[in-house]
Amino acid sequence: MASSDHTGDQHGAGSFPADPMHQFEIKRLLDINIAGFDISFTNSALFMLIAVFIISFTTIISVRKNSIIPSRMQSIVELSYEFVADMVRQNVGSQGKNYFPFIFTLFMFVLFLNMLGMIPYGFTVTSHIAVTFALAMLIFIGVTVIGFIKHGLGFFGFFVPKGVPIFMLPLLVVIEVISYFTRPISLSVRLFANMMAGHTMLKVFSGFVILMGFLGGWLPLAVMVAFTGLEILIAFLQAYVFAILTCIYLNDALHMH
Amino acid sequence: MTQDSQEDKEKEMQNIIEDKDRISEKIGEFQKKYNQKSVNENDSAKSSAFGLAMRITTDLMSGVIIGGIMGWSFDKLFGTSPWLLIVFFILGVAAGISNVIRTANKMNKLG
Repeated sequence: MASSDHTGDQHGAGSFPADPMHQFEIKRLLDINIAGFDISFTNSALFMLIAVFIISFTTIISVRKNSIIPSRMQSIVELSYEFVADMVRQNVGSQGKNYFPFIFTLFMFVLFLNMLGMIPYGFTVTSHIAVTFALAMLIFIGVTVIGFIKHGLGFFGFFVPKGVPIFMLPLLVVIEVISYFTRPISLSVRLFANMMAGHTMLKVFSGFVILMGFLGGWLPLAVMVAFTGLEILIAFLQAYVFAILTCIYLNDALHMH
Repeated sequence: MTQDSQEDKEKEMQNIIEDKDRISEKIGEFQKKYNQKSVNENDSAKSSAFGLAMRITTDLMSGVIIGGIMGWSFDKLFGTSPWLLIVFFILGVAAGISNVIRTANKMNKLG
């Protein structure tokens, strides 16, 4: 970044041609204030709505004509349905059938938010910890409530590891409780960090393309093309990991190891 | 005349049976291909090294963060600063490491 030094001193942080953090800025599109709460309609909310509309319309319209030989759209929907159904069956078992709609919704929502972020000028909703942490807390609280409903107070037995000498128990129970509370953090931080790191990296490399000019810019451009492919893989993978971890937590709550 | 039509019918029947065999063979082929593909996809999703690294990192980190937050808030509650922070920080590190070991064990089982 030597070339940015002599041009950029007077501009400070804005000297880099493409500010890598600018893409995460939340803009108010519609100011709404109800009883002192700021619930403005932002670009983040807009992209969530777009994702919901795309998912609803593709799933509803493409399975309207239920043909035995599926059309392209129908087979996309059927494949994603089977993909999630397999995931739930493998990780939760037959009892997980009741929770399939939630897992499917969650997977499709996160997947489409990630993928919409890959479209140029798109906004990556999942690159904000507020969104991912809210989702993770929803899952965490829901799974804990399910555990207490299924097992009553016996769910506290989840925090007592088996085959441990009695004098070690107080220490280990505290560690188990802490490790249980790390779930929403690790779930949300994983998704948010992956999305934010990837998009920041893409922006930084695009800045290199401009800085190095017509002669040197081809190398970072090639790297960027490769990273874009990797980012699409990560966008899918993180949605998959998010859903599969929800399945694992659900399995813990239903079967307690 | 009637003999001829009988033969024709038999021939037609033969053709239909052959067609059916060919079609079912093709369906079997497609099914095999489809199954293979889905297995491969699962493999690639599970063994992405970057994903595994990210998972283990966040597992370790979140233990430390939660331990720190719990210790800090208990200190604030009971006014015992900084002792509970230190204790819970260490416990948080332990929880993080136990998380990592658990995740790694699970990954080994998945292969």
